[in-house]
Amino acid sequence: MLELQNVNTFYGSIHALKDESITVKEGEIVTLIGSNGAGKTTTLSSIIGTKRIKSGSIKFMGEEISGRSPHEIVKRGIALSPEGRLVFPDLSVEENLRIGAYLRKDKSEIRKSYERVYGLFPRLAERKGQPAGTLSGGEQQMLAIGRAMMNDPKLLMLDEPSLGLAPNLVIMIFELIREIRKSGVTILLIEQNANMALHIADRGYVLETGYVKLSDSAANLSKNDAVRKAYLGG
Amino acid sequence: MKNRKEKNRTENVSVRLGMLFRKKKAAVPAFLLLIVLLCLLPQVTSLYIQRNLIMVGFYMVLGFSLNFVTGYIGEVSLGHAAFYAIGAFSVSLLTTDAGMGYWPAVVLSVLLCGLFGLLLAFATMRVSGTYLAILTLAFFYLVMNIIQNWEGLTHGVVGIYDIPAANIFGFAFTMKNGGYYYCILAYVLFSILITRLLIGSRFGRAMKAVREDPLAATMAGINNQTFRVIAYVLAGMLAGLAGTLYAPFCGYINYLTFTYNMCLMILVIIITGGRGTMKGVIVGSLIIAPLGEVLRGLISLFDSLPAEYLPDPEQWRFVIYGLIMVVMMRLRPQGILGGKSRLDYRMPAGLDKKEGNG
Repeated sequence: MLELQNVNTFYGSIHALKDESITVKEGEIVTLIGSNGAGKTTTLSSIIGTKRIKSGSIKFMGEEISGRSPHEIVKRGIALSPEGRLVFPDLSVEENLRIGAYLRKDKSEIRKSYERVYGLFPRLAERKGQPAGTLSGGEQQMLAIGRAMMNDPKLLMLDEPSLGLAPNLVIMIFELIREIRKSGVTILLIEQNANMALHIADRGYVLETGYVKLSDSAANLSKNDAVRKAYLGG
Repeated sequence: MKNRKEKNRTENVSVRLGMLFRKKKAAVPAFLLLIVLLCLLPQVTSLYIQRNLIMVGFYMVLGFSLNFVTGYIGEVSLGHAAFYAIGAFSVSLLTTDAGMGYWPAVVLSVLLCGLFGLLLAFATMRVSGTYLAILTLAFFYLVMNIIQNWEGLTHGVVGIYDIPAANIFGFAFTMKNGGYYYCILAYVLFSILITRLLIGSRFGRAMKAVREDPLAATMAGINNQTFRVIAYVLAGMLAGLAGTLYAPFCGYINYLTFTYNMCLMILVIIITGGRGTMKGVIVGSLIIAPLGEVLRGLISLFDSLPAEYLPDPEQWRFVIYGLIMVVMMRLRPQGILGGKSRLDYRMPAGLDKKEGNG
């Protein structure tokens, strides 16, 4: 479904992604793990088009998408829930979701998406009219994911969804990610919480300073000694 | 059957009209009554009051115009009077030197202002915050300097005399027959209408999304730059429209007619009222625009003082603006009517506030 081939991305003279090649197949949960500065977020920005790549190719559903602008890429069915749960603080929960469906015109389809999101996150339905800025951190994260879902994406990319959340909420968010996959959405997940990520993922890539160090099934990665040592706490 | 449909339709229209002020149906008659009262006003007020009301109207239209950029896209423009000036000079030159009719000149001038809006939007595409504010200010001085120095076109420092009165079907507007008053009233209503239509739509939501968080807006598939450009063009055209009426209203304009203080005043109006709200623009211009005159009245109370101690209201006005801004920023940064975000959220029944949320 998504294929990155030898992607190189630079920030000025800093070489952030070095010949990165990643594949995501339909229906999978794939996770990218790695420490700070490994190039996880840069990978997502390169895919969604907010960061131009220098060389290499990014194919989505067989079509080259590198070099296109973000709104065109979003239109093709990729959604990104950015790091730090960027909700629109002064707008209500419902308005936030409505903007997520910005590219869609069919009203009955949009209504279905509302129902789907409210079904996944009943908490959001309770707080429809409330300004998003007054939600708790976990609720804002749900809203950010829900908003990404409103565009009915084929591929959902999540950047650190567990960042700064209490452990019980982290478990809840990961459960929801599984639910979303069940409904037919492919997921590319970035996480510092490698333990949880490998737990729900099918496959994983370990990034280090811009290189893909390892790629294997999630089960094998969590058994791998080097990974255990570096990311899973021994 | 047909009758019922008809009835539904009229109900629909009245509901929509009611949405203009986001209130119940009772708002419609109230709103219509207000318009009727406003229409009758020039019959009972003095020319002096009427003149001030017209000025409030001009600033209201300018406020609505800047609101597109500052209120909905969230970018501070310090040079908004430039569009006002372009509209005014363009209509004056077209009706005097080019000998055009008033309304064709208005249409051309408004289009020209839209073009300048486009230009400014493209020129400022990659900047934001302070840099953007400085660039918009530079834009204002650029426009005013061209007007001052391009003698062949704009008559330079001499300015433009004998601008013909605005007219409709040969009926010339004057202060006495209330023509300018009704015209600016119509422009204010037009601004309210266009703002309401835009903001309630998909388009308005996209603009608000860009203001709240540009990155998240991009992720929703919104092309931020498109909306920036549209907002600047709209703002330019609306301010230009105000300018096309202001020039014949004054009868004579020159490069000093449009000042930096004017730019500031427009900004103060929407900051005071509450940026991103329509009521805010209305309240803001009602408070700020007549301030100079009110102050003149207050200062005349000190007439017994020797002349050299008498403050000049034109100068003192800006001290008061400054004070208002400082007080507003300290006490209500979202404006008098702006932002529900500061209000406490009412918890749904059955939820105790003390328990907090998880």
